[in-house]
Formats: sequence, structure tokens, C-alpha cells
Amino acid sequence: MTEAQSNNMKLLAHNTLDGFGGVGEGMALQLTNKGRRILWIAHEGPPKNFTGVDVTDPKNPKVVCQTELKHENMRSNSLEVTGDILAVAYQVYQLGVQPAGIELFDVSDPENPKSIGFHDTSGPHSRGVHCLWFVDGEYIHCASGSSDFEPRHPRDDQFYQIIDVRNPSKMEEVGRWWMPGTREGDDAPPPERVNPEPMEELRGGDAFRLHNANVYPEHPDRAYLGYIDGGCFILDISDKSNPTVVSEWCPHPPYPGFTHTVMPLFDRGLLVVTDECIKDDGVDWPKLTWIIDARNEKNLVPISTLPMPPVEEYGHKGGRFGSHNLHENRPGPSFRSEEIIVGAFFNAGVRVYSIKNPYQPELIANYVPPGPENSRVPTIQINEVYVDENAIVYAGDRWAGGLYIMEMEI
Amino acid sequence: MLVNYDFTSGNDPQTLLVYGMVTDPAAVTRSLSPMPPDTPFLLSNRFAVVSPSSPALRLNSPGWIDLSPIQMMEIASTADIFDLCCDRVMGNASPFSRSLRAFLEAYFKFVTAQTENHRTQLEPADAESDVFNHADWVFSAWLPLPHAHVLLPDADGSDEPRFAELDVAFLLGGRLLGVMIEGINTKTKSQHQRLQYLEERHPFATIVRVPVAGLEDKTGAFPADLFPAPFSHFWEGLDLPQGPYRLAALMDDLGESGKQKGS
Repeated sequence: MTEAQSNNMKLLAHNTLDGFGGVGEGMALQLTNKGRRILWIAHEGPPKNFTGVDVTDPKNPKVVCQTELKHENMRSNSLEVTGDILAVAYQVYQLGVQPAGIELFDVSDPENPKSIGFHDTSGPHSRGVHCLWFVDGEYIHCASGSSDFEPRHPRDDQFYQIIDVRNPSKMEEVGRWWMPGTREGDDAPPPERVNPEPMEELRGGDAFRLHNANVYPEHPDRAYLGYIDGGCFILDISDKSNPTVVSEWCPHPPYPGFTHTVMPLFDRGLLVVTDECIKDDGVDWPKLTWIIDARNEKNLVPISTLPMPPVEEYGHKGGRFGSHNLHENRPGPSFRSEEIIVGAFFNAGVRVYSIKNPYQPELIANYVPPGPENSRVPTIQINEVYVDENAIVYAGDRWAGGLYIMEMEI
Repeated sequence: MLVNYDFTSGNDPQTLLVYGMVTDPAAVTRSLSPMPPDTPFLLSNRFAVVSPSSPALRLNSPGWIDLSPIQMMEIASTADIFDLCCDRVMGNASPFSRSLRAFLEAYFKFVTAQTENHRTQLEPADAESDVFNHADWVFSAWLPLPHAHVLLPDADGSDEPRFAELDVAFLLGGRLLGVMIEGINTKTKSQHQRLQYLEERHPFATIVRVPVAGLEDKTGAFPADLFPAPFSHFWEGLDLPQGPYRLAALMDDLGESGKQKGS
């Protein structure tokens, strides 16, 4: 096991989630009406569905709830909490398998989540929902397949859907958009593949599908999409039933693809765009986090990238090395900053940047935990990160390490 | 050698503010010399040093705007000079800060409106006089210092200067008014501590917190009600309006230019 590396960050606690420490791409914090703080965590894969951790005392986290998936041919990689409603994404590993879609839970009693609704997105060409965004209590914005959507390429299956969840027992799709050319019957030609890979494998890159869709209450008429090899899109969703493209930006090729998150910084007129590393041992290096000048949202201009540690040091340490998730400035009990960016960078740990000068981002803090026991790779693989309103950082390892809670000393 | 401007000093307390789009305020601080004795204040296009006895810093204060005689000769009207002042201040505000720029734009509209709204009070007593008119008072408005970094006294012997960060600072004469635009960024622990230190220990600093929501209002109204009453009546206590280019500065520049011609 390697030593932890830290700079202006202090580890407060580590919890392996009762031995199920593979953390997916969902972390959300609930403030209960009894003053408790519950961190809800998605898992990378089966058998666990989601875990609730009481982090009221961040130095002493306690698992208070851990639920099971219906079977092992599915995963719930993403979740969000708004108020006492937990939304969970169900994705399956084979086309047509169920349940695939979104399940809502009432978590007002965190020890006993109660299902209050399910939205089915299964279908002959669908793997269900990979990622969802739910911050206003009314609409879920997600990447999903659908029973009526046949992609031209099997990995282009998940597209943008807007789900009205105001009535949890009767959720309904109210809008959708996909990249032109990716659906059978489209007039547009299919997109040229960036890094062609065998079509048999459903997971992974070489895909023109949605990953994240971020929509903020400050600007509910805009959706910010990370469309994997398609790059990023800004959509006008003032009419949810008819999303339209405002602008797009794509660095692939020559860059190796997999745009993941597009986070707008409204006051600054900037976007932070991540390309997810999806291969071990630096094979798909460089996977960067881009700073985009979006003062004119119709003319997106890349102006810098977040500095990464040396590839010769990290590329071959084991596991993935590169960008992935960000703390996304979501509303709620959340750290919100347009100058400080906190990201999950797999074997480079949690990294904190100042983009006060967006032309010259600067690393101001980082924490790299040691490689966890029982992991399939020798290094830490920080997969997800969430920062609360007190600047306490919660991060999860992809395979085994579970939850790391840190304090930023900046 | 770092000059430790110390606003907590009982003997001639001085406050250094580094302002504008400065990426390294510490580097600016290291380049400074002590304020000479009997100097009421220092003001440049990057920093200001003030003490409790300093006069207010206004748009017409010397030192911040760097106007050449040729530039002045090309300006035809009071409105043009004011526009130039506004442009120079806006040039010190990051293009990546919409709310700060909205605040400054609203401020400039506000001070202009104030001179109009108090026109009868601001016109010369002699109605026949054409020496000045009410609009000339706009240059007496407080000078906004965007992105102001206030140097904090050296508390722990560290060589690294520490700053409290303000979105805008105004020096009203015996009063440092810091503006914080609230609602965009969660403060880090150190940012919070430094601002708290400034509020608690500075002998004449006050922080005004402006909600960002109001600045996003398309009407662009300046939140004057959040500021102390004298802020809106910036001409009070002054005998005459003055522009940003003083005669002495003009003469100095002409003399300097003459020297260069002859050399």
C-alpha cells in the first residue's frame, strides 16, 4: 500500500461502506428535518443499490442504510437527492433487461427508504439510465435509452430525456434530444467514429451518447450536455418539449474523446468541461479538464486546461489517470464556487484548482489516498466527489476504498 | 524588503490596497517603498496606500488614471471624460465577472443620476456663471477600486503577505468601504478568516454586502440603500468640482514632454 499524498487537504475519516466500497458517479447530501446530514452514495456496480452514510459528524461517518439491487445484471451508478426525495438511475448490462429507468424513494426516514415511483425506460435497444440530474424537485434530466429509440450504433443508445417527476407515482417524459445522425431514420449522416472499437461491447467509449446533463435553477432554460465523443452541447430548453441547440464544442479528434461533464459558471461566463479517462495505464491520455470562455454562448472558446501531474509518474502507476467527475456546484447543502474547482481524477486523487485567473488555472490543494485493499488496481481510483457548504470534501473510490472525507485547508 | 503596512498600528496606521486584475498581489506589495512622511496618500493604477487622515479617493484623485495631455486635448466634453474614467475603472474589472461589472455599471449610472437629481443644489450660486455646471460634480464621486486586496498585518512572521479580498473598495475619507457581492461563491475558511480579521481589526473599515440577485435585475438599479447615507452625496464638504486632470499635473506633463523633446 502506498502512502497518502496531501497538499492543503486533511483526511478527516475513511469508511469502506461495510465492505462494499465501489463508489459510482452519484453522491448527494440530505439535511433531514431532524438536523441529520445523510450522504447518499451510488455504487459502481452490483450487488448494492445505494448506501446512506450519516455524516453529521464528518469525523465519524456511520453507514445507516445499504440497499440491494434486484439482480446482478444491473447497476445504479447515479443518484441525486432533493429535499427528502432520492432519485436513483437503473442501468442494465444487456439490452432489454429490466428494471431499467428511474426509481424515486422517500428518504425522510433515512434508515428506511420507501419507494414512491418508478419510470421505465427499458426497451429492445435500451440499457436504461446511466446518469441523472435532479436539483429542483420537479424535473429529472437524464441520459437514457428508450423503448422507442433504435440507435444506429449500439453504443449511441443513451440520449437526453427530461422527466417530469412532480407526481412521483406518474412520472412522464416531457422532452428529449439526441445528437442528429445517431438514431435510425435520422436525416443527418451518422457521426464519424473517433476511436472505433468492436461493436459487441456495449460499455465504454467510441460512443455518441449523453453522459451528464446539468440544468441549474438560475438558468432553467439552458441544459449543458456532455455527449461523450460528440463533445459538449448547450441546449435551449425554454420549451422542454422541443430542445434546440444553442452551440456546441468538440475537441475530438484530435483529443481522445469521452466528454463527461459540462459545468457552467454563470457569473464568469465560463464552462468547465471534463473528458473522462476510461482506460487503465494511461492508454487514453490525455483526458483533460477544459476551461471554456462562454461569455458569448454561441461562440465557445477553449482558453486553458487544468494542470495535471506528470504522465510519466501517474500514467503507469496502475488504474486510470485523467479527468472524470467534478463537484458540480449544485444547489442545496453544497459548496458553490466559480473560482475553486474540485475534481475526481482517478489515481491522481482529489484535486482542487483556483481558476481565479481562468487563463492560468492553479492547483491549490490535493489528496491522493493510498491504494485501497481488495481493489482490482494498485492505486486509488477517485471516481466521484461532492463538497458541502462547509467545504468538507466527500470522495469515493471506484473499486473498493469506499468513502474518504477531507477538509480543505485553503 | 517587504513594507509591512499595518492598519492596526497605534502609530500612523496605514492600509495598502492592491487592486485591479492583478494575478499576484504579493508581488506588487514586494515592489513598494514606504509611504514618505507627510504624504497623505499614494494612489496608482495598481495600488493605494491610505491612512486615517487621507482624503477620500475620488474619480478626480490624482494618480490612478494616467492621462496624457494629448489624450486630454482629444476629449471634447465632460461626458467624454466621464466615459473615459468609466472605461478605465471597467478595465480593472475582470471580463469574467459579470456581477462585478454589473455593479460598476450601475454605480456609474447612479452617480450620474445623482448629479441630475440634485441639479439645483449643484449648480453654481451665480446663475450667470459658466465656470462649471452640475454635471462636473460627477468627478467627485468615490473612486471604485475593483478586486481590492487589503494587505493584512504580518501576524505570524510569515514572509508571505496575506490579503483580505474585496470585490470593490471605496475610500470615503476616514472610512474604508468594502463591497462584497454575495451569493456566487462559498468562502473558503481562509477567505472567511481574513475578511473577518479586516472587519474586526481595521480601524475604519465597513463591509457592505450586496446580493447578486439584485445585480442580475435587468433594470440595473444601484443598491444605494445598502450604503451609508454620505455615499450618495459625494459632493458634500467640497467647495468646487474638479476634473480628473489637474492643472499641476498638466504642467508637469508638459514640462516632462519638453525635456524629452530637447534631449
